[in-house]
Amino acid sequence: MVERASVIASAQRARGLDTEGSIRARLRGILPLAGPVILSSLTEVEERSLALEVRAFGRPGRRQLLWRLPDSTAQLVARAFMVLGLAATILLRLTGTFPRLP
Amino acid sequence: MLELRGVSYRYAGYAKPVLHEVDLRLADGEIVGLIGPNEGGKSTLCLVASGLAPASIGGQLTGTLTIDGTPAAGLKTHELAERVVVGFQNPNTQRSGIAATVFEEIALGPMNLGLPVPETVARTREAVGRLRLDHLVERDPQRLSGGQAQLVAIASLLAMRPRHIILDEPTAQLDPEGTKLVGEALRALATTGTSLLIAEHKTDLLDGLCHRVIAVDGGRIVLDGPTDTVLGDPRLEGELGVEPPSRVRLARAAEDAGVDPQLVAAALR
Repeated sequence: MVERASVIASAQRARGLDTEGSIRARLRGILPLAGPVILSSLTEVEERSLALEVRAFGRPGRRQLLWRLPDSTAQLVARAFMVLGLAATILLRLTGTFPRLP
Repeated sequence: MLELRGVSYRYAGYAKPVLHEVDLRLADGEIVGLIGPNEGGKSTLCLVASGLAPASIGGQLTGTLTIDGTPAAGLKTHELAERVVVGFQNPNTQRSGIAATVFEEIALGPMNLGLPVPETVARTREAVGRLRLDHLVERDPQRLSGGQAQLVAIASLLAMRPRHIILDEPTAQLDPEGTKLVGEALRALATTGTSLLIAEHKTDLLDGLCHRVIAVDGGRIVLDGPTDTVLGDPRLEGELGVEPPSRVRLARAAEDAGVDPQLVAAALR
């Protein structure tokens, strides 16, 4: 979107649109940019979705992953403790037993 | 074999059909060129032959599309994708946007199919090799030139290992070197039994590549025959607004200048 906006801004500037100067001038310049940016994004959506469908993007079921991050038992236990710790902290805070910060 | 029989197609929201009574047959291993003026129905024919019109974009189709004996009507888009793929001319719209490297971009299709990792990697490596993209595999797909991105888009299709490939102006962004590369890769694929339908304005590419060329105009097939016959047809330049390949233009210029065409043909060889 950002790339497209900058291309469209250049194209509109080439046709004499003032995108610099006072804030009023810049605000006036937004409309001729917003229209083409939004419309061209929408028209591209169809081709984009076709290109993904051609690569079986809509297939139900599990996808294959190329990388699997190692997940050791120690990490699993650590994560479980963190979740428990969070729950305990919230509970203590709600019951008022957790010390308030000054 | 991919076969269209008596196919007419009307886009959703259109009053009139864009294709009329089209019969088209792609034999295994056959490369068919598709030419015609703008708005003649080339892109629509590509979408219809891939089954995506109407499976994905809706619209109304009459007649039948059969892919390797299976009627395409009723197949879901991912089931179609395992049989036939279609590529477009704009590489930016064909990029998934979710892959961090070119390798993963090309591997996305096999990954979506849920293939085992070794198979996914083998298919991706093969596609990379066919288009000589080895030097790009680690790159960010967002930061490629138009030509490189288009080669990656084509490689992404090849990684699906479809039986039929349809390409809508695949070389519009490519330099002569890239165009040649795509031509070689497609020719090699055809020898493995893959059938190809290629819509192109670059008739020079079709001239050296296709077994057969068809021309569409006004949504109908107006010429269909061996490459030499169709690309040498005088109607190309006039009615169809297609520039004949340089070989044909040279032969005509030689004839006009009174030079023996045999001599020119021999010199070209």
